[in-house]
Amino acid sequence: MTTALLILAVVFTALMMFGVPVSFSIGIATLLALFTVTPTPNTALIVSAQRVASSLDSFTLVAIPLFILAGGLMNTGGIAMRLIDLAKVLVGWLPGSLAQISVVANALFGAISGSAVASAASVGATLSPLQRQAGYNMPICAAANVASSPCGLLIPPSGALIVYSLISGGTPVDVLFVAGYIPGILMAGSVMVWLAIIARRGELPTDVRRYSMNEAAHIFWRALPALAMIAIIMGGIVGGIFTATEAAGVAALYTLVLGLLYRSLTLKTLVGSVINASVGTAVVMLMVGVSMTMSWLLASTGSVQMLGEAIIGVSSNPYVLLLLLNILLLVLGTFLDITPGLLIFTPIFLPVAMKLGISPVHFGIIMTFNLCIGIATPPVGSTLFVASRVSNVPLAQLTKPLLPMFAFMIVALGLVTYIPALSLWLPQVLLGKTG
Amino acid sequence: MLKSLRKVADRLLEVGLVLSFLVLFLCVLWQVFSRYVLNNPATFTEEVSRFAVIWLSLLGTAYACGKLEHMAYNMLESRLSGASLLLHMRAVAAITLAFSAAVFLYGGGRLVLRALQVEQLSATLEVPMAYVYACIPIAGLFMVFYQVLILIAPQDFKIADEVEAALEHVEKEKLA
Repeated sequence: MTTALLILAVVFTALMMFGVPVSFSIGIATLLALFTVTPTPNTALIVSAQRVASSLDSFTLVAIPLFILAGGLMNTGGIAMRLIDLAKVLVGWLPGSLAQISVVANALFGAISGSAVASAASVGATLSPLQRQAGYNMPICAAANVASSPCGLLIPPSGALIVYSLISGGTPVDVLFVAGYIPGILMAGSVMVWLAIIARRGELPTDVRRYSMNEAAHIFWRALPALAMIAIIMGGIVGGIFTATEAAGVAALYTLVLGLLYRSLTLKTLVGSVINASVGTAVVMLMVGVSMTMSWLLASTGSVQMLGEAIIGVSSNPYVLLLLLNILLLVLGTFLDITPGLLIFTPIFLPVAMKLGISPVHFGIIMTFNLCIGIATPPVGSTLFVASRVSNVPLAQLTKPLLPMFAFMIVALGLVTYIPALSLWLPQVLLGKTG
Repeated sequence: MLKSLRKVADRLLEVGLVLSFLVLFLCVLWQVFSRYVLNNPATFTEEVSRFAVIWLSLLGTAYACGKLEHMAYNMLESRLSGASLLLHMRAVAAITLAFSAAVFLYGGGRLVLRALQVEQLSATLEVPMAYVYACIPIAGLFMVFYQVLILIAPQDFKIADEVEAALEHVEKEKLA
């Protein structure tokens, strides 16, 4: 058992650092560990193949390709621009408005497109010329774009929460989705508070732009098609009209009809979008398949229990343990993207959290929030590279303005960690359940 | 010759992907339609859409191998160029090739044979599970094919870059 665990950890880390795709690194490490516990190597090969396929046999996962397609189709035809305009109306009156707008635009567009990188690219490319023209400090603006780009991954619909639902053994997706709202808004809010503070200190222009009712109504009208997608999904789920998977199907149909109506969609671009969505799905699914196999191996060899006891051995005080888990995840999260982070650590940490009386929904939100902070940090942080490029700010200049933003986000993470109601109150009110 | 074979493989997988996507999409929509409009919820949709996702995922896994889309950390790779970069690509291809051949092609193939032997059937529709599992060795075959091609001619492959893709998309959106 200890041998298997050792092989798993060492092989996975070595392969990943070498540059072998993460899913293959997990798969190979799991296979080698399996060799030590199965009677023949043959069994290990067949079991691996079967586990990968049977792990994907879930109606919940059917939502993933559909959400990715809907997000991809929404990411064309100027939707990003319309949502940025909406963000201008919403927070254009705050000090440091052009930086504040990028945060809100990321929260809106990230939720709809489902991609932090796509969101950082569109928001940064659109707003940085305006920010530069208005005399904004560009490193601060680019840092605000980086820090807020993952907000949309917590605000539903969220592919990360669907993956968590599966790996945590069937935590209801509807509850997770609704639970993500307040923490996601808090994440955005924490960056906005910092921006307001430095704007007052004179580090950002405080010019504000107010919109007349007419202008505001017009801008809202133009953003309505995108907002309607969220309304269909969340309205449908909260109203008990359909499951998350069915909502994803209806959302995909909606974006398809929208694309046809606006004539932005041709058969060729549609086929291209479907293939893109399929590749995006497959990359996540292979990771899900191999991680579920790893998780099964960990559970069946008693390793989860051993690791859990080791963790609880450090301290049995839930507050201390949550603090330690958060620190560990923040460090590991700088290396791991959200999906692999959730897939690798949920099977190990969730049993411990549950033993301490933390609900799976609350814990899923803590982990996702935590890993969201991690994707904006080097050495992985794709959003960092994107924001640096679209705003024309050298990477090295981003670190300093990012640090206080991370500090504020970590404070928000602390609130989400220690106040379960921030995650569980809304699902209790809207769905009448918290798990 | 190899390049045109690769194009054929890409096209075949693309057709497979679009078809699996269509099946799962229509199943989910039919499930909603039959429940609310026909008042007679379909029973086959859930199982068929689940199986379509398995096919989509496996064929997509193979397709992503050909496009070098599987997420990897490029801390080492970003420091390499020229011959050493090609050597690194070959090394990664050799490692993934071994896994694809052993688990997907061989393990998956044996799994299909075993499912045929014991005549394992699905829960609702009672279709042979061998048909569901068949996508594993098929994907394995394509994975091995692409990885051998990378071993032979890594210079013909371009590593997918999320950052570049996002920037290109933004450029295109601006022009539109």
